[in-house]
Amino acid sequence: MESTMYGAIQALPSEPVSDLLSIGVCPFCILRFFGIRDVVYSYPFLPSTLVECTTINLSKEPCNKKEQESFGHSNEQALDGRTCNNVSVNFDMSNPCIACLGIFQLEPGIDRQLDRICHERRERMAVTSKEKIIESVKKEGYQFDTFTVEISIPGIVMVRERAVWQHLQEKHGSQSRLQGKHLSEHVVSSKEALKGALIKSLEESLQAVHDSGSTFKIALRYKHPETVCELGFPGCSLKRKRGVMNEVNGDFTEPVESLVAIQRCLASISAKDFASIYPYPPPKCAVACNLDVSCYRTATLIGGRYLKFSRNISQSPWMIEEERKGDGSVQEIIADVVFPHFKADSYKFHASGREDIDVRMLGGGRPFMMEIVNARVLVSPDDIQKIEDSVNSLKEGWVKVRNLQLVGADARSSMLEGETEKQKQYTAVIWLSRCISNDEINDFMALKDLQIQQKTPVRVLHRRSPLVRPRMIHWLKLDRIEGTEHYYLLHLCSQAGTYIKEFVHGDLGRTYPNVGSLLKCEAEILQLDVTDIAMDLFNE
Amino acid sequence: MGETDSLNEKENGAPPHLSELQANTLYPSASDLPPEPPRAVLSNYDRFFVIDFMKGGHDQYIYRHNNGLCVIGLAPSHIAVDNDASVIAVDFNVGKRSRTEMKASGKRKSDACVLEPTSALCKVVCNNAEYIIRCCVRGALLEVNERLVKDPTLLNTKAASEGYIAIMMPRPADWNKASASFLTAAEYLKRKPPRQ
Repeated sequence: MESTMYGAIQALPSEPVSDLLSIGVCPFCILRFFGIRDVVYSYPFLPSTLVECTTINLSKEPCNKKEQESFGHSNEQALDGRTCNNVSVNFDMSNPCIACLGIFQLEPGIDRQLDRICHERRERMAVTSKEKIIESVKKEGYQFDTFTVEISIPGIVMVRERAVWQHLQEKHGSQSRLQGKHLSEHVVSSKEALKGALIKSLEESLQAVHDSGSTFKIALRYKHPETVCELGFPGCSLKRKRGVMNEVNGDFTEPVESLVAIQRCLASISAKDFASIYPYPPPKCAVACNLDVSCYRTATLIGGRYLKFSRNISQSPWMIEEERKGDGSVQEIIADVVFPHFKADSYKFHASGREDIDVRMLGGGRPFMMEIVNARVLVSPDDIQKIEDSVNSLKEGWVKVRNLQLVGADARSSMLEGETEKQKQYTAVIWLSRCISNDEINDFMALKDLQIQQKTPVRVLHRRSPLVRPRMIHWLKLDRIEGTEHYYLLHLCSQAGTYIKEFVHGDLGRTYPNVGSLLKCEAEILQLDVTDIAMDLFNE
Repeated sequence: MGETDSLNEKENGAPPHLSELQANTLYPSASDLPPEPPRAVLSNYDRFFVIDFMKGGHDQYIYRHNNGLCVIGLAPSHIAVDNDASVIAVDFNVGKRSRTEMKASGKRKSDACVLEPTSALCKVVCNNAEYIIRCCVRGALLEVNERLVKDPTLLNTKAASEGYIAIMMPRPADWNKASASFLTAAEYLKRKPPRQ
């Protein structure tokens, strides 16, 4: 790797490089402006090597350009080369880099040359970004074996990058390395270079593998007091219209500069217009970017099916004027066991539809999902099995879970589909005002795919739209309850979203036809159970 | 039947401790069941009545659901139905706009018309007379029972359920104001015992 780096650095045209060094562009950014990619940025001796090579090249240039190629193949040679020359390269390291505002200079490496050069500023730096990252990761106690890094760069850095580029093009545009190049294609973005500089050493320090799809995110936010909005780019607003939800703590943050908008403006503005907005090369700035490090894990999703054996448990916590309705909720009973395992910030509970508080959920259970926000702990399928067992061994036994498992984000849409699309089976205990003959029962059970019109039930009309909803009853089955004349068990299968209680008692005739109208009598419902939700989701 | 089989399969497929629990709890036996069932209309609503509302014999009911909505209808002692004659017609075309055109929509029903207690809901036509049915409480009119237009005899047979007139949504303050003068079901029965 070292020799590749030497080759790359050495091949740089020394004149523009020394110019950039003298106006205060850091060695990292110089490499970026010449489109050099890959792991070069992680090399600790990079800054001094660049200075060395440039010095040598400059001194050699008038004599013999071809000799450059043989130079710098080893460190000793490079140092030798420098000592026998009187040419010196000016560089200004007293201020942060005029392009990146010190983003790359937060990485001191172990370069003694640079140490000497910017000893003073180094003294002022409490911790380097790498140390800061490791400290932040350790503090929260995350478990992870992969990670990914998210970087946000202040908009002003993009503006300054453009200003340096414009300077380069104007002064050195004839150089073959720069001729006809475009900033967006040629210059390596600060994000990419920063990743190149950090990731390898982070992998070693954190004992984990970088994977852009990892659920564990290390967010690096570089901030700088100089803002872009005040510069007055013509014809565009650079602020986001709305504030943004902070994923980690749920706070609503103020609208900020939109980096995408800045990028768009910079891409479309002409060199002349840009010059009237911002000077190039960019002015020196005494204040460096500072770095905020935060870590979070994207939602951990746990799916399964729940059963509910109590007629006094709602699905979600139900409070009326601070007084609890019922004995508890499915959500809380499950979450009280599941949630503590993850040492997470919060959770959300989703289910494929819901049943009333006084309706049991039997059969195969109802698909549900817990979305666990910012889990510190990684759990294994074995752990999930143990969690399921401990929910199922709660002594009240009101709620059980089946097939608990870690699931992907696609399960979310399947669940929502179940809310509106899938067939549901029910068993109801009903009362009929007259005794029904066997023939009538058979006629009733012969009804298939019966379409009913259901007005929004009075019971929910205060909070739902008044509508007439056509719903399908796929089949019906009626069993006598032995020893009674008026009581029956009604089994039925219906389209999702059918209000079953209203289909039985008719809701003042607002659901029509209803059980009473079909059997030409009055009908009342005493008990209802959901016996099956016909979905493949979490069935095994 | 195929359906029964699939139902049983599901139960058998569940873990043993679950299916056992279900088998014991799914079906109540005859001894668990009351001789008379709870009636939805009775258990879901608080029932109130007014007697002689603005005119003699104009007795109405106001059934208030515990969510605050009120179902308005004719009390058994209303002069239009407290006789052997049938109702001939129900006409919602009263006031400036027909009540059937006053549609409410959306969760908030912000487009609903707010009517006063004395506002007319409909006109009930019998053989020899017409009677105006009124709101009794100030509130947003959510719907009127359009089935009555086609089948006015519902007022004779099922005035207390399928023959309701309208559903109103009063604000709590308006409800408190209006209900102060309403009779409870017990008070009403004392004043107007059912005809033998």
